Amino acid sequence: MQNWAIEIQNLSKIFGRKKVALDDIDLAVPEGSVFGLMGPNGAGKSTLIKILMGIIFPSSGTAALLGRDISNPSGELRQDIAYVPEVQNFYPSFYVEDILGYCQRVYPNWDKKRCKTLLKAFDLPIEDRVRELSKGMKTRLAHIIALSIRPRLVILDEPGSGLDAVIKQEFMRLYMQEAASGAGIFFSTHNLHELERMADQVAVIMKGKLLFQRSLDEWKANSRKIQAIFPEGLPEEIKDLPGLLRVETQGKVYSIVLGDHFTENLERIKALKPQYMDTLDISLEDLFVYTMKKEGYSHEIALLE
Amino acid sequence: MKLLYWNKALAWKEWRQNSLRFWGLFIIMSLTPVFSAIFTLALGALYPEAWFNGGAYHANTWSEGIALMVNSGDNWIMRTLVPILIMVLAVLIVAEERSNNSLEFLLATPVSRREVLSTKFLLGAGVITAIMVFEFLFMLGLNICLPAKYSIGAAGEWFLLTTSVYLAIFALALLAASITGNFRTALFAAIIFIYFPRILAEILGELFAAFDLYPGMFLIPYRETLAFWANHLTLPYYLDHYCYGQLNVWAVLLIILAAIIFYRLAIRFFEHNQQERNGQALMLANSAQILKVGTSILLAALSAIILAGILQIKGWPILLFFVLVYFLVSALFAFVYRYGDTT
Repeated sequence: MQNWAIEIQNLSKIFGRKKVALDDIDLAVPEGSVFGLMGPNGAGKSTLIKILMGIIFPSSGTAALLGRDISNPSGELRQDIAYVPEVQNFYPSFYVEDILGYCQRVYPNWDKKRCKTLLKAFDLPIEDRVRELSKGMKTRLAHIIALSIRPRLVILDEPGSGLDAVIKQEFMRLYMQEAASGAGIFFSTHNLHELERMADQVAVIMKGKLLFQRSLDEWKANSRKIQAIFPEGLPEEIKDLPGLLRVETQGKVYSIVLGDHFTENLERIKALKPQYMDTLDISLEDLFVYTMKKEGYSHEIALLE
Repeated sequence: MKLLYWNKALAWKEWRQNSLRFWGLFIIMSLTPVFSAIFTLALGALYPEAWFNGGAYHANTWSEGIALMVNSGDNWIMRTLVPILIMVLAVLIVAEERSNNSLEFLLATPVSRREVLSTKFLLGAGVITAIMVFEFLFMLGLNICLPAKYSIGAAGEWFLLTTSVYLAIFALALLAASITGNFRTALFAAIIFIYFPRILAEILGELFAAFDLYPGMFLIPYRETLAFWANHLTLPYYLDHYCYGQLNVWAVLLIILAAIIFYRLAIRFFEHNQQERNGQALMLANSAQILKVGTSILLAALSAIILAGILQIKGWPILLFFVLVYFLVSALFAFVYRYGDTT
């Protein structure tokens, strides 16, 4: 039987009377997987994460973390779950050691030795007050706490926010180590290179709706850009291809962007007898952009005068 | 999974966060019963010939301030300033968490909402009680050792009533803060909550008079009855009208019971409140609707009272005017909600 790190069923969140932030989300994250959540600004990613962490309540639906229902008001639910939000909200007047002191008292599996090692490795001065720390330093502190609690599940909302490339990569490497030893990683990010490097499963969310959830390898294997020249222009059949994301024209060359069913579509296009045909790989970023555009999320504007 | 009311880690965090405030409260609350008494005793010992309050120093001069306080409640610090400070403290310890968004950090750690609010209350109430116990024991000790102008019974009665009122004010302000957002809103709500019965009685009294709803000759007794109940439901009234020997022990028990009810309600509301940055004005119902109806009634009532006073008329024309203003203000709210920027 499959064990789920995160299991979400029919989850919705409506702010006020009308503003639908999440609309009937169903999502299942297997234990031990590295799961990336993608979506444009305002898609509902942070709202979903805050609901999972018990910071805000869902309007309807259920969710469970490591098999524990999030509607249970007990704090024990979060004792082995690490959370790094996009913006750090530590007590400004506290010293770093006070924040760590609180965490040490409240997390049962707090690893003091690991915390000390991380503080030293990431140059975080414990004698500084939180309000004296830069944004990046606060994010380092949040990651150090997340890694020191020896988590079974890590939830990250824009984990690289405020970090330089070297530090970010180092933290990501440490999270991958955690994943290798069995911890589940669930993160939302706009950095698709990072996501491509880390995630084994992805989900795309837009306007509060889950568009799909699938294995990243499978998604990439089924997605390609096919460039072709047809003797009599673009055949009508192309528009009916399953998983078609976009057709772009450059002179006589048509670029057919496929988000799914690559093998099947390739055979169909071959059957249309193109004069020329080539297959190109497509990056996750392009794939995401084409998917968003297909869903109507487009900000193409004419050249500014 | 157990749901607890006390969390040691949270208590440690609260103490780190608020210890300066607690010490400040201790100093202010100790001004009369401790510091002033010690100061007078020291002055009397050093300068026995000096004059105090227009008289020569006597062995019991040190206890004059305490005697006034415990016999008639006559001490503006303990009667007026400390209740305000306690209210501000209760509001601060919750609203501050929202305004700097640290509640988000806290709620993502393995603690329940119940533990968060309950630990805040228990620590704050514990500090207030500890300060009051310390002061009572100090007054008791000095009374036993030195000649004093107050009796142990007076100190005990004052201690019981004042502590219970302070705890109830602390719990009520915490309740206000648990269902509101930022500091200003929470403080406003706390003031309204604490003085609500008296404000309501005043408005109702004036309004009923303007509507001519009192049976003619019974105006004064009706208003007095209304004021009597309103006063007894307003916590600071007990401090304002304290007098040694007139304390009803049931009043103390009821005030403590009220404090417990406010505390339980605060937890209940906090457990169900959304923790968005600014909180919500009232999460049990549509806050916009409550604001619309509440403000419309209040403005209509005030307009009716003022008009009745200016024109020296009462009865149905004022009632009609009240209804008219209510609908006008409601319509204005509806217009603003529909076409205005309500974000």
